[in-house]
Amino acid sequence: FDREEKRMTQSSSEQLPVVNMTNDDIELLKRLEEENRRIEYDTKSPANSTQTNHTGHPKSPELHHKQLRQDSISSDVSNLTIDTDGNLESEWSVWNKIINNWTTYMKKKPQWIKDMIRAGVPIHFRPLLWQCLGKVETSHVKGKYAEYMKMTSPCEKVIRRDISRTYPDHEFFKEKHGIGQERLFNVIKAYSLYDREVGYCQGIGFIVGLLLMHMPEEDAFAVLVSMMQDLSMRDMYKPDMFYLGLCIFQFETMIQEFLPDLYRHFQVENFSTSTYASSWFLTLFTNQFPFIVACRTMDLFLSEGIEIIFRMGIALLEIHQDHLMLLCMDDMLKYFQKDVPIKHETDHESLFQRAFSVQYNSKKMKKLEKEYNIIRKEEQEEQIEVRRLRNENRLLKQRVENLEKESATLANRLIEGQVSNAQYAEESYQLKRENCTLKKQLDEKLKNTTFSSSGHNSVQLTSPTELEMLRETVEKLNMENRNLQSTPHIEIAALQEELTLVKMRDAEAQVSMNELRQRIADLNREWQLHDSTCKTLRESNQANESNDAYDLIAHELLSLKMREAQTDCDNKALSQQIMDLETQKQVIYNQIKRQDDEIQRMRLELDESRVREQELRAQLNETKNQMHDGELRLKEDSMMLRIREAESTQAIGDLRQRIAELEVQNQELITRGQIMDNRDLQEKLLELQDEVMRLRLLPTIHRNHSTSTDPRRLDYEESEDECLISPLSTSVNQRLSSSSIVLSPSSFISSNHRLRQSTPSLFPTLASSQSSATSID
Amino acid sequence: MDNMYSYDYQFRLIVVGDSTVGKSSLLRSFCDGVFSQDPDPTVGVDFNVRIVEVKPGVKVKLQLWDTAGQERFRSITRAYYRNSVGVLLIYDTTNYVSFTHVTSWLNEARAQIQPYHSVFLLVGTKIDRESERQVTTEEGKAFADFHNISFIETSSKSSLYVQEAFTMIAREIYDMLTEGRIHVQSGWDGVKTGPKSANSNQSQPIEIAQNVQPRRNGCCSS
Repeated sequence: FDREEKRMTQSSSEQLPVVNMTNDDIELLKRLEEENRRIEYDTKSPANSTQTNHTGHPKSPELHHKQLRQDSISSDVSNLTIDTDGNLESEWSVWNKIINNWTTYMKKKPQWIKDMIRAGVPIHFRPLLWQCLGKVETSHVKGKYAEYMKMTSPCEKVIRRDISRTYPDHEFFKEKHGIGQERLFNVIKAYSLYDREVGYCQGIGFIVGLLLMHMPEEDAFAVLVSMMQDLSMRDMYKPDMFYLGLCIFQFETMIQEFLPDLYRHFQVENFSTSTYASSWFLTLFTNQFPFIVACRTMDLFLSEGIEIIFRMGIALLEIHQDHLMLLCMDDMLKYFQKDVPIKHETDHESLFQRAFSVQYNSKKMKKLEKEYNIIRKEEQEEQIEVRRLRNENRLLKQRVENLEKESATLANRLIEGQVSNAQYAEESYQLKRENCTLKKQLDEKLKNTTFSSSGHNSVQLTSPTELEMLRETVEKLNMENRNLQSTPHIEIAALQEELTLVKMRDAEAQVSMNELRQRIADLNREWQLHDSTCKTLRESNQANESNDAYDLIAHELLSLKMREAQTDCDNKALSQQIMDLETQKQVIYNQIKRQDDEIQRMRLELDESRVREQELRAQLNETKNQMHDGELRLKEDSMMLRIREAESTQAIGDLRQRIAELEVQNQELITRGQIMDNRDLQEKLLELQDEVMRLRLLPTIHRNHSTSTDPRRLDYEESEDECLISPLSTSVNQRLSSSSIVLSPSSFISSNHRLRQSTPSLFPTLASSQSSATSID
Repeated sequence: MDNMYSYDYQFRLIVVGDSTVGKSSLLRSFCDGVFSQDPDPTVGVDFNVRIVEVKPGVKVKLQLWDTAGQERFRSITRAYYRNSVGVLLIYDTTNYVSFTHVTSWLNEARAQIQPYHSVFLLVGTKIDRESERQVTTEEGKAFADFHNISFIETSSKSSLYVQEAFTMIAREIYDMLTEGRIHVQSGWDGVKTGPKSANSNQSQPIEIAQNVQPRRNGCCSS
């Protein structure tokens, strides 16, 4: 404080002429300020009364705003009263100078102004300071305000909903559709029209409300616009709230750096920074925090920007760290919402001092911003990826479904196919069977044909029979032909007969005609007779000669007439004859015609039969050829058979040869066997010779050992002998086995030995023979 | 306050819905028994706690996360879905638009919670203002049936069916828990078992803190 004041005094000394010049102005200003204060008190007068009413309910933070505001004012007042001589005067004059020469001071000593603001702004200068910091004087948006008022915002409905919820306990905004609420609505609406991208965001209301507590609508709007644009609050409220996310990220990193224990505690409790800090950043401590804290934060925010929010946030956590460390998550949030604001109602200076001492590293913040950008980008990419994957997943699921459907249909088709396959298999089996039977039949037939081929003679036999048959048919056909040729003769005969009959009839008719002529002649005669009689009668009766002539002529006439009639009759008869003849001729002509036709027919038939004959002859030739072929084949077959026979005979010869060989072998074997037998026989012979020898010797032994009769004794001797002989005999045996049969005395022994073994019955004699053998040896 | 530490389970529920449908009022009515006509607009998230009995002798602590309804706050509130076992989808029966937005809230909640199982409850509010009603009970019921979720209509002002709504969703979650369709998992705050004693509550989780939070796919086994 001292330091700042020193700096202040330094600056004031620098600006001395200004100070001197405005000494009178200070007086004037002071009065103005006092008046201003009075006005403010007037507006707050109902608040004063309500404030006393509400002191019993300290839980509502909104009420505390007012209370604290009052406190701050009173403190300011107290400051005024205490430091009337020195500090206050200088502070006021200094602030007055600052406000009046804002642009020059801002250019020359921005740091000093910043420090001055940090030190605290007198309540009466606050509206002016905010307007200066918000560049209201130079702002061009102020003029547009009236324009915006006439327009309607698309956000109006949403804004309207929140109006009654913003500082609902504050006197100024309490009244429904009162001045305060209307102004609040107007400013928010104006901004939503001014910045359509941001529009309206919950949280703006608290800031606008705070501004409206200090200045008229238009100025508040201008300051808001400046805050949004110059201090990047609009990024905070933008629909994507990117800046808020960044701030939370940066703040979290700061906690991690400055308060690692608390950070870990938050992590353990899963207490995310956004839960408690997002409202700090969005409302700049205007929501829930005491009024004085909100105002001072606004001073500092307008002067220093978002940095102060970080500082304050860290300061708050630092102050309450020990308490927070003991709380679980549920309680921590409640603590942040209720206990923290209450705690700073009275003690806000320490909070701000702490905030100023927080080491805020803007370079690091920039770095973090970059980091966050990367993280965010990655996240977005991830989200895009996730969305893409989800989409893909959906599509794949669809495809899977489709494929399942397809596979189901395919499975169905497979089953159908298998069923049909089975049917086909069955059919094919049947066909195979049929095929088999057919093959069998074919084989049989082939056999038959081979039979027939073998008996081609039968064909030879059959073909002549066929030939004969054909000949017969030919003959038959010839017969038929003859018959057919003869039949017209019969007809002709019939017709001739008819003709003769007709002739007979004609003859009869002539006869009858002749009879008639006769009769006519008779009649003529009769007539002549009668005429003559008449003449006589007349000659007798009539004497008239003329009459006579007439009579004669008449008579003659009559006779002529009669003759005429007769000739006519003849004529008629003749014409009849002609007619008859003509008819006869016609008949005959017809008959001839018919016969001609028949002959023609016959000829055709003959031709046909000739053709047939030719065909038959061709057939005959063919059959002859076939026969010839068959004969040839037969010859071939027979040749083949002969060859086969030759082969078989050859094979037989081979076999015979083999048999002979085998016989030879057999013979050999037999001979060998005989040889073997011979050998055996030789052996046997030898043995027998041996025996013969022994038997020859026997009587002599009997003579030598006649006394020794005891078989036991003999036995003993024998065993003894054997003991004596054994080395020798074994050696002999060995030699015997290695060499071929050598007729040596030792071999006798060995054979003897063997014999003895095989014939135990000869035992007693053998022992003696043995002994004899030894004696021989 | 000492009651706060004697419970069997803790369920974390998230309350979502359009701005001014009455999320904060519903929670205040349920947790504090107070009705406030105009609560502050929720900036970011807010938080309430109450213990309910889902079954005689079974107490469940409900952690109720109140979220900002305005669309642009979703970027902040989105992070709170993951650790929630239940979602209360709130709409205003006197504001049809809020009802039409329920689908998008439901979809967002489903998308965010995805690997975990969660229970949804559709809640219509402000039924005390019957004359201003724009969404019929039938419409709400049909929507809930269509999405296979529970449904209830409430009035925070007359505290009508407020208790029922919360016990309803708490019971549903508890039933799923006993059926084994929801599990207590480390690294997930949706469902937690109650602490054995108040002291152990503080020392115990520090060990877990060393472990990295398991990734989502690690919990898919359920």
